[in-house]
Amino acid sequence: MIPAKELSDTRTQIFAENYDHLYSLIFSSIYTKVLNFHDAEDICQEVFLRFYQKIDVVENPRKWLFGTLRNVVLDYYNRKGKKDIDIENIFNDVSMSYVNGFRDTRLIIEEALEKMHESEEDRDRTLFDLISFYNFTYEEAGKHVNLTYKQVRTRYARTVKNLIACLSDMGVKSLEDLL
Amino acid sequence: MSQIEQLTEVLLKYGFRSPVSTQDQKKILKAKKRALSAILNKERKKSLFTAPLVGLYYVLKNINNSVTLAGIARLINTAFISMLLIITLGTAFTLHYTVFLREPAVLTEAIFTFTMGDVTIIREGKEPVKARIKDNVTTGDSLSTGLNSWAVLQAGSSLLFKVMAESDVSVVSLFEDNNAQVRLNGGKIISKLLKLPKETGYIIETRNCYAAVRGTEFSVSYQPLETIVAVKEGTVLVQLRDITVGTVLNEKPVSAGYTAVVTDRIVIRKNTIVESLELETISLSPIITRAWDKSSREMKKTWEKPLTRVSTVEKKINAEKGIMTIDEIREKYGRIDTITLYNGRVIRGSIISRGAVVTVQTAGGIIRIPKKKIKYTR
Repeated sequence: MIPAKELSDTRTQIFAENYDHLYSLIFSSIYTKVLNFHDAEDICQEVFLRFYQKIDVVENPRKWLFGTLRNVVLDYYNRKGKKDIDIENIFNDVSMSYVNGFRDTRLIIEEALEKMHESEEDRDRTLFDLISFYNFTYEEAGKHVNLTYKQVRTRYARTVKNLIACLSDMGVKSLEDLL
Repeated sequence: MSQIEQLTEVLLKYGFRSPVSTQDQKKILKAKKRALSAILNKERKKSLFTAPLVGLYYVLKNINNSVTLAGIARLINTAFISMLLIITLGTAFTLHYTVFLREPAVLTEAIFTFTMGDVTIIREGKEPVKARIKDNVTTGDSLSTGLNSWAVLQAGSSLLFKVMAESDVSVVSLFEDNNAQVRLNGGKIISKLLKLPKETGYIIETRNCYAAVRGTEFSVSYQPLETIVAVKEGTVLVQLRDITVGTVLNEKPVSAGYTAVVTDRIVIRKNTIVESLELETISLSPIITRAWDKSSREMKKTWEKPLTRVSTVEKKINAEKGIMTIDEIREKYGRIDTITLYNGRVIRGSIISRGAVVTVQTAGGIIRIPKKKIKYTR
């Protein structure tokens, strides 16, 4: 038998909700850093296990999960004996890195993304990240966040529009200017 | 280039994109379910149902986004309890019918569930014995009934046969080779047969006839070279036999409400009132559940109510046949005559007409006696 009463507590509900929205995103983020599916699965499970245990003190689950992800991935490299690994490079920290020499433009885009994320629902933010950063198809992204193809298409188009507006506020009048 | 395509290009150019292959995207979804099961099992009591819970959670989540883990847990618990209940009830019923109510693997005997009057069992190489309730007969045994006597035998839980007064019956087989067969040497048998399994049958054999069925109520009576097969329910296949070699010469199906009179041919007619009433007595006779496990006392108790109804029907039969008790004759005709014949036979009854032939109502029915055979009356 399953203790249904236990599963109906607030902690589990909050956990399940965030797990649903963020698991695939966190997993993809880890996977693109460790490049091993099974290790990524273990690390991701560890991240969410820690999240479950600390859920009472977590204020912003998304930020907390990405922060913990960083620590757990670092632990992973330490265990693997790669202590001299450049973690900043792995995490591609925009403010510290010079990808192709476009540091300023990257910072602008990063800022626009953050601004856009503030006005979007959790699920739409995840949807955007999965499609834009990790190249998920609409259909596949929909499966990961429990939305239909049509819903994904509409929501993604709206989020992109929002991002373009944010970029526009920051002085980027057209995406073509960035290409 | 659309805005979305342009954005993709921009993100790629500035190093924001780290594509995950479509194959891995699918694998991530499976990992998502696995990880949730693992976390729930780690953080809570381990349960066999966690994996199905998570699986069902994601299936239903795709249909209705408002489902919760607790809701699915309750659903699974309810389904599990219902399934457990169904399995328990199913097992109980199966055990009840296959173990506790199971018939012996091979039926080799028929049990007397009721006897009335003089009923005798004749076994090969043994002295004839009076049959009592709970006695049994097996293949090769014979039984005979006297005047005003009858017996009901049950084989398994599907065959009941009533041997009527002044009958002589031999048991040829009792389902050992899938068929039950009874030979009627004289008298009458009324049978009740519930639906038998496929390739199983019941046959009553007389010297000139076979009556074969798989499920019905019917009677067979035989007096030399005349067999009468009356059917109440279902259909009986009646076959005319060659009395010397036993080969089948002709056959006719007899349906409910009809009677076959088999002599040197088969004639079909409607049941008489007496035949219908006699068939009624077998309908009223109970087939006793697990008769082989019951005591004679339990059998008698089972027969208490049916016997009253059978007696009522028998009274109707007697009335139809003109059979009355001595008291009933005295009450109806006001006297009882005693008629002594020259051959020494004494007949008690009431003379209802005189002439060259004297008609007498006796307890055994109406008889006609030539006047010249009567020595005197009193």
